[in-house]
Amino acid sequence: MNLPKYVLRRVVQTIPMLLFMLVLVFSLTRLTGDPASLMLGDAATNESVGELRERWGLNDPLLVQFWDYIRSLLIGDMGASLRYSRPVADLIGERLMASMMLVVASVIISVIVSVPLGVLAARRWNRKEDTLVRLFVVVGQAVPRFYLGILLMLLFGLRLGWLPTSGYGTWKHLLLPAFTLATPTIALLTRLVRSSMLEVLSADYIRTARAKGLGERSVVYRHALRNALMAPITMLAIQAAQLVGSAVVVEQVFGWPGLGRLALDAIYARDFPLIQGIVLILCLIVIVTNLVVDVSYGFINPQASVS
Amino acid sequence: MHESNRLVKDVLSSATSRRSLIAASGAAGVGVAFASTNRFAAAQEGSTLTIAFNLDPSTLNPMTTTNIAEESVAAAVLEKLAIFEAETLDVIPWLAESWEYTEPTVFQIKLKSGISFTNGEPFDATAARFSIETWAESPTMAQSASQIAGYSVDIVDDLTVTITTPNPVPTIPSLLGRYMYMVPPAYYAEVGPDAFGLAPIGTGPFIYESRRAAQDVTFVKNPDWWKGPHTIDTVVFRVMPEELSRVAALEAGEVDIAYYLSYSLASRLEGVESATVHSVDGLRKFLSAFNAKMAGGEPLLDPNVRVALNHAVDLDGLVEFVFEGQATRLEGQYALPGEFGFSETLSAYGYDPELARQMIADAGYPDGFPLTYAYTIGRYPKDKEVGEIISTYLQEVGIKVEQKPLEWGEFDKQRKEQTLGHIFQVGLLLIPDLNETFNYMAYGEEVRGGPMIDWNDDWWALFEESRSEVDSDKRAALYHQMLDIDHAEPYAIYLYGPKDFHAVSNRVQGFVARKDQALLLHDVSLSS
Repeated sequence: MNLPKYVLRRVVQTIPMLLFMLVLVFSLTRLTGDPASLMLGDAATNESVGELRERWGLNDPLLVQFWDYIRSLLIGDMGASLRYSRPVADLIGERLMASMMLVVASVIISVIVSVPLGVLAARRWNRKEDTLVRLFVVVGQAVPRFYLGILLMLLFGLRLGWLPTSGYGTWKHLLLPAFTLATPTIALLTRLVRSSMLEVLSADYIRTARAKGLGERSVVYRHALRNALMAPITMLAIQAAQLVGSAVVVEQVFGWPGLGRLALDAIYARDFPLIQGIVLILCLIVIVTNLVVDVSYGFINPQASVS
Repeated sequence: MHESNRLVKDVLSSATSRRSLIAASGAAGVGVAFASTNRFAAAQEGSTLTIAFNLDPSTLNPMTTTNIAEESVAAAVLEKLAIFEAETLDVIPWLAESWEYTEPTVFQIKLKSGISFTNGEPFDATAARFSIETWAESPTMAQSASQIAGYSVDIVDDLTVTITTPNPVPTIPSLLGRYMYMVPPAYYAEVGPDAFGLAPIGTGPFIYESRRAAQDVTFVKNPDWWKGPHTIDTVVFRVMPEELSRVAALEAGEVDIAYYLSYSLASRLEGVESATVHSVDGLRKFLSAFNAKMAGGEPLLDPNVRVALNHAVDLDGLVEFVFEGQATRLEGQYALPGEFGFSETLSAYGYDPELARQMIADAGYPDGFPLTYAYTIGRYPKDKEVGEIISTYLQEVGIKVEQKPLEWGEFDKQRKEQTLGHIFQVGLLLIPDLNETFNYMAYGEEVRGGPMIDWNDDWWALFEESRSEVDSDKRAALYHQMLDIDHAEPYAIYLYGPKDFHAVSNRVQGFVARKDQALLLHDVSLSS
């Protein structure tokens, strides 16, 4: 099958997936909490809560509400946030850039750091370097992000004064949150690169390559690494999608104006249209990321092309 | 060092919560990081006051929010007819010049002259009437506005309005101090409440300039402020939900005020030379209210059982160990000291589990009885810890407690459906006048969530009388009688009111930590 056809098929497959997800989010969010009563506070009367629910159309039967929502979605309208009284698309638009910047930076940092570390550990198997890398892997995966973030903030923001403690705006603001978000991913990828490299380095064709008299660099980077990267890339795709969710904690600690914090606020306020909108966008991001990764297999390893 | 040891201990302890971990790591960092060399100290430049704030306001229109933090941001632009004096909580005129009850049902307000909104609209009787009516008709304000139900606002002359009510309403001055923000009628009517909340216009010391979602809200000086231009050129509210981030930013010199901190973090700043910690007795009071009419709650219909449950809880222990002493216990009544109606003659019941067990046995439950106890998680400081500890106290006196820890949204929903539990733990931040607390407690069946219980007839008669008693002394006396009844037949386990903490850079002068949690920048200035 050629590439455009494959992509088209995948896109069509996402439609029922998205629809199922929307049904799930739509019904689950409505199981707990009432946005009208939460907004009106401790001393609101039943009457005023009822009025607000009516104005928001929350008194209609669920099926009617769902149908209205889908109908608006089809014409590109994600509705208006209950809490902010503004279009959901605008709110998400304001935050999406910040979130994407954080996630992309984390992915880049993860790759830049984990591949050399993993290769180094594999080549120096069971030696000092390997032990140090393995130690880093254990610590990196074990330390919770919020805690690591705070430590980094206190060290680089407060004690050394090299970077701002929190906020948004310049690349300096990006470094601490991106590194914090990336660390567990770095650890995970390093471990994977290391183990795949170990496996590949003991394969027959590597021995053949060496027997042919190829240089060590060429053996490791051209022959071994390309094959060893398949598993890490799959993992990176899964991780990239998860990073969007994990970013909530990092965004909270560093005051980063991303989608995760918006989602958290929306959930606490039971802002149904906003939750639905954010979940929809996140799902699309995950789907697109997975598609890109599947397609990219073909470039790294022609044997694993989409056909 | 000590903080580091504590941190390690906390990290190793499986019982460590995320919050305490943050506090502990903050403590360690604060301990080692005095000499900050931060080059990102935007707060140091020019005459800009930067405030690290705990939330991203959903609106800057105080007519549509009862959230005091959101109001505090809006208060840079908008002013009320009156404010509460920070310490005494007396209501003092602000945009109003004076007021009086010309008749028990007619409240006359004289306005200050020569004031304009920053869009040029005059602040006059027309604006005052529009603002009062907008407040009273806002669905968000329905419960408070019900105090003046059937009201009318009339213009007497250009600077005088009257609020006329069917019955005398003694609490109107408190309503002016808590709620009555003045908005420009033409602009407000033109853009509507939602758009007004995005770009408010008022008479205040600052003018709204810009906002970046989830980052900051910026205000610039109003050169024509009626009290004379403010000494600060620009005010920035930076959104920083994590309190440790607020503290770190303050220490790094990136912000001037770290608003609203917990004691554990604020106390660590006490050794930092560049900042001062301000504390104040908060007005939020915590109760565990009784839903006696819920199935299974019958034992709570007996007043002696309710007194017994008050004896079962070691309030001083709670204050000491959960709040490190930084809370005020309630003295066997709803009111905190300083609140209008507070009774000096009442005191806390005293921790006496033996007596509690005896009283429960005498009431016909020698083997105790089962109850559900609902509390919030993460809504209020230490709410979960307090809920768990109180459940344990109740178990000690023979109650079989089923704990119901709930996230706020679910808690609120169940409260509305009145399925929450036989006892539920809440924190109330209301006007510092017992009238509003009584209102909240009494209308249990009408205002969702109030405790469902049969009220004492004498109490009800006193409440009716107090609601139209305009004379403050007489009204206070009525409240004292009501509190006496509430002490003998409590409708809640009276708990405590925690202190509030804010940390302020030493270059900020004139900051006052207010009991009502509002942030007013009128007298704040920056030293060079």
